[in-house]
Amino acid sequence: MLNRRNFLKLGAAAPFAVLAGGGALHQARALPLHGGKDFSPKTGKERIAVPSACWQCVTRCPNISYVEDGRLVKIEGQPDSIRSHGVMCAKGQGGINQFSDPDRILYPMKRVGKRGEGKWKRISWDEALDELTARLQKLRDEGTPEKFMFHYGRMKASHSKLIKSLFLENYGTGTIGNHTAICEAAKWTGQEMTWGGHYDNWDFDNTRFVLNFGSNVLEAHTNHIPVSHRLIARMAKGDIRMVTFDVRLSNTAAKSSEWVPVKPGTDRAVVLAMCNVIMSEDLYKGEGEAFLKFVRATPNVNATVAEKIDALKAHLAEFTPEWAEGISGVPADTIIRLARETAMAKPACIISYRGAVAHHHGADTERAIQMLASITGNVDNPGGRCKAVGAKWKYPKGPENKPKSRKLKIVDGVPGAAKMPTHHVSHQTLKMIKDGSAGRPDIYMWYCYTPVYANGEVQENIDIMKDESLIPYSVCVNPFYDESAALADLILPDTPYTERWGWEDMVSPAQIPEYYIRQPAVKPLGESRDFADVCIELAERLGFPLGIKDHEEFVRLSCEMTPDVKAAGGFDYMKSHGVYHDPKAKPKFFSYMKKLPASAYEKDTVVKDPETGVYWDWKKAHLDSAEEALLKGYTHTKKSYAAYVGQEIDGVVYSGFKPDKLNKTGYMELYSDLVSSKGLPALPSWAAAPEHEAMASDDLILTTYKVATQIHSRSANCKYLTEITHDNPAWINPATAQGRGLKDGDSVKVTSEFGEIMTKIRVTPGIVPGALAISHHCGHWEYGRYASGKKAPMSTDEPDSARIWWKGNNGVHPNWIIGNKADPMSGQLRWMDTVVKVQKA
Amino acid sequence: MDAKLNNMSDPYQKEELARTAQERSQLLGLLATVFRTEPSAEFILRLRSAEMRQALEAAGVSLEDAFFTQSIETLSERLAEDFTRLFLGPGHHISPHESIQLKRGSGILWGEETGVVKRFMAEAGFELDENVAAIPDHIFVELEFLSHLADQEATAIQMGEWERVRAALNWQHRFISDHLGKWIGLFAARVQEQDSGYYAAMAELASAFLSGQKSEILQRLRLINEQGV
Repeated sequence: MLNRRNFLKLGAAAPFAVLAGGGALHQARALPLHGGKDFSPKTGKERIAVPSACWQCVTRCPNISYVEDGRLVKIEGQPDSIRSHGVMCAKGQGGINQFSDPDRILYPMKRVGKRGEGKWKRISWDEALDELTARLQKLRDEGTPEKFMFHYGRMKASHSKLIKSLFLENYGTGTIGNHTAICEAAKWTGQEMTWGGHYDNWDFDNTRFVLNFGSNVLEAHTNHIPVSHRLIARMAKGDIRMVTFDVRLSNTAAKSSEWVPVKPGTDRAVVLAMCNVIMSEDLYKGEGEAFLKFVRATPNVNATVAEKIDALKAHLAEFTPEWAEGISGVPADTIIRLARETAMAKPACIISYRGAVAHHHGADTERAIQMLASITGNVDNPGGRCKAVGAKWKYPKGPENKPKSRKLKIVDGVPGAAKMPTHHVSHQTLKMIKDGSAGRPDIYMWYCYTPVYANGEVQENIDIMKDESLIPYSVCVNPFYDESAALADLILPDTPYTERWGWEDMVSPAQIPEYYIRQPAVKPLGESRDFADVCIELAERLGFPLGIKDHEEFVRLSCEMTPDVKAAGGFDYMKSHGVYHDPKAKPKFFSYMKKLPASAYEKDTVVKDPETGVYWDWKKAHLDSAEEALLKGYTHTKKSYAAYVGQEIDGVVYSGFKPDKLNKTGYMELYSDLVSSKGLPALPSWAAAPEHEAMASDDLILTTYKVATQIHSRSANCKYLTEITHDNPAWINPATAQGRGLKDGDSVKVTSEFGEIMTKIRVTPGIVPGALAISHHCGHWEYGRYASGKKAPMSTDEPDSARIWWKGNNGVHPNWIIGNKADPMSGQLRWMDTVVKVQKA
Repeated sequence: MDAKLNNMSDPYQKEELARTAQERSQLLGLLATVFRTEPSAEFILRLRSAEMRQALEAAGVSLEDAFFTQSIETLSERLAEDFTRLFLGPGHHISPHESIQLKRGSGILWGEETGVVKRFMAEAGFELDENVAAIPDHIFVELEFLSHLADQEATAIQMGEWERVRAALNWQHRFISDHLGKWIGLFAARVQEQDSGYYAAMAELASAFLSGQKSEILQRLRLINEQGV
């Protein structure tokens, strides 16, 4: 029993240090005799606006963060942004919850129990970095820096430069994994094979017709708000038509002029048939025909336009609308009508995303879509599908002599998984670690990434990450305790984006580059630290200082080094304005048509490749002479794409479609030697997913999707967002449900070759028969109270836990039953191909 | 000269008042240290000293035997793990912040309440050292704040600056009424639910001590006023 009368004896016996200078509070001025004079509730609150940038999704919109009493109270759009025009989506506004998440990790944590047991001890940054440095140093000393694997989810712009180009490259590891294969790798590989560098901007400002294959652009695009608010503006004006092909009536499909339901994985058949109509009806004439000059459609790079037309007609002849109807379920008449409309719209903007490409041979679907855009003359033109334009920052490059990187061959998937994984096969990295034949990392570190949750085959991911014989030491860099952090040995508390510096460069839908920065709205909470700053310290500790004090200095120097930004007023300008674009700049179109001056290619180090007509700089390709270059040839020299100068077409050297990652020519390559060299059809063609051909009569195809209020896997801790979206019943068509005796709201068991999940169904005609759609985002079992929907056992009556009215109803995660299967060309995870059975539970 | 003032001028009574203010300050300082961070070996040794052990027993704070018998290394490690598990996470934990614990409060980190606490402290002339990675409404900061105020009270008594004594008491009373006193009980109950050792005992002590402070402060104010100083 406590004895109050004796409490003060404790005080008497306890002269502790708090008052002798060891305290956290200091007295700035004498104790006022009366209160309330300095800070009235009305005038005492100072609200400041900090121009910054979002980091919820990859779009990274510029924002304005409002801070009151050191508290982030609101995030709004940046009205001066040429990209977003001040619009901010729900996800961006909900970003304030990243700052205020009561379950945030504020200190470095070291595991003290068994891996995954949930027992931790706080350690200091010094202890954490001592431990990590010792391990990193050992690998470097032993000449095996590649045994340090770094795996990132979101790492862009200045973060990427500091962490990857400066820290990791100077450390010497090339074992760097990304996450693009679970995003849209098929699209990027498809673009790299056709027009070179990846990313397409959709010029909604100037288009008349939008033809959409599987993009949920109004809810979840990688350049979401910048393009979607333009699209909505045009829709509101009523002078645009949009047709959406989708398995599901997404909000984008619902807002479109027309939704065309299509069977999962069959968009390519429709696209090929549309191409067939356009070619057979001579609808390519005009812009399409003119564009064919820059297209490669035959083995002969010097083919005439007429020869190209013949080749395309011949190739497409078999892909009739009737044939496509049989595969896709889209009526032949609809295909014909929409093909004609696309060709006649002038301009039409043909867009695509995961609905079309996250399938078996999704990269070929993107190639087919490039073909459709090409033959209708809708490439890199006002109102069409354009080459991306983004800011080109200059930045400090760090130490001059980087070591030659060494890497474990574990990031491109299991052997044979993908023929051209230009963006790697991240979802099979853990499988490769388990396999071990290409070596295993001693240190596996992940950053802004959720390997357990974001990939398919969740149980296998857990089993591998838990196994210390497969991964001896694991480090998670994360502000939050998610399903993957729970399996780490060391957690380094990153700051959410609300407390970081950075410069940004995301693609501009206006075709005019926008420069913008992120600056901390508030000081990092607790001991959380921007991981870029941590890398600067690690480099210092490892003996290769990067010459940069911190991320802020990196941003400041970049502002001074980048001519446009410097001219605008440099760092000070960017700190007060947040964004900059050249007000006099003209939108950039038709970049491929630029004729090169002779000085660009009549150089000692530049030769013309007779086989392809490509001019290339042999020195940049690390060859010794022009003779060697001519002997080896452009196509057959390793990474010669980096030495590309221009493409000769009809005796003129054009800038052309500059290659990236692949040794293609400077044509828009619809015909691809690269593809045929891998044993696949050189022109986009049709091949069904093998599983779909072997389906039993009661099988369904599971597809996935994203909603407007959550990002893929890192936003469910945001309470505003999760209050809106926390549940995801599986969509099923009434006919499909009826055949199984299912009705709306029934509990069902969904089974695939990888396992089973339990969920409820939503019976709706908003999905094609034979398919099942389950969204991402839900079904967390960690990631804090809001995401997991769990009652925190220790805080049952904490006010915000008590307010989680959706407790125990936080949806289901479909990835337990989705395989980490790769598109055989690009390595893309085939999110939309899983064959499942659905039974009443 | 007024008789009451004469009384207060009595060096014995004044000393007594100052001494107890100082002791309150020190106890609050002790509790602030407990909830600030994992205990250092030095801190544990001091708690285990004969004098402290006796004082703890007299106050009815029952620390398990192991606290006094285990090796410092083992005990430090165990308490560090308990501290992490209870107050830091990662994952489920009892957040030691007013904004998260306050009944019907915002429930979020750095919530509106945190700003109010920060302003309150600033009004009283205090601010968090910018090198300390803490949020102003962390329980240790709030305890430390009260400790400082009680220390000011003690110094003012000794100096005979009664206006300052009243101010220090008023600030303490307001802070306990509007802030720490509103949530420390709930917080302590949660700690006691999840721990049966050192932290449960300390949380119980903190809560019990604070619960008596409002009346103690009013009594002091009454006494001073009665004395007419």
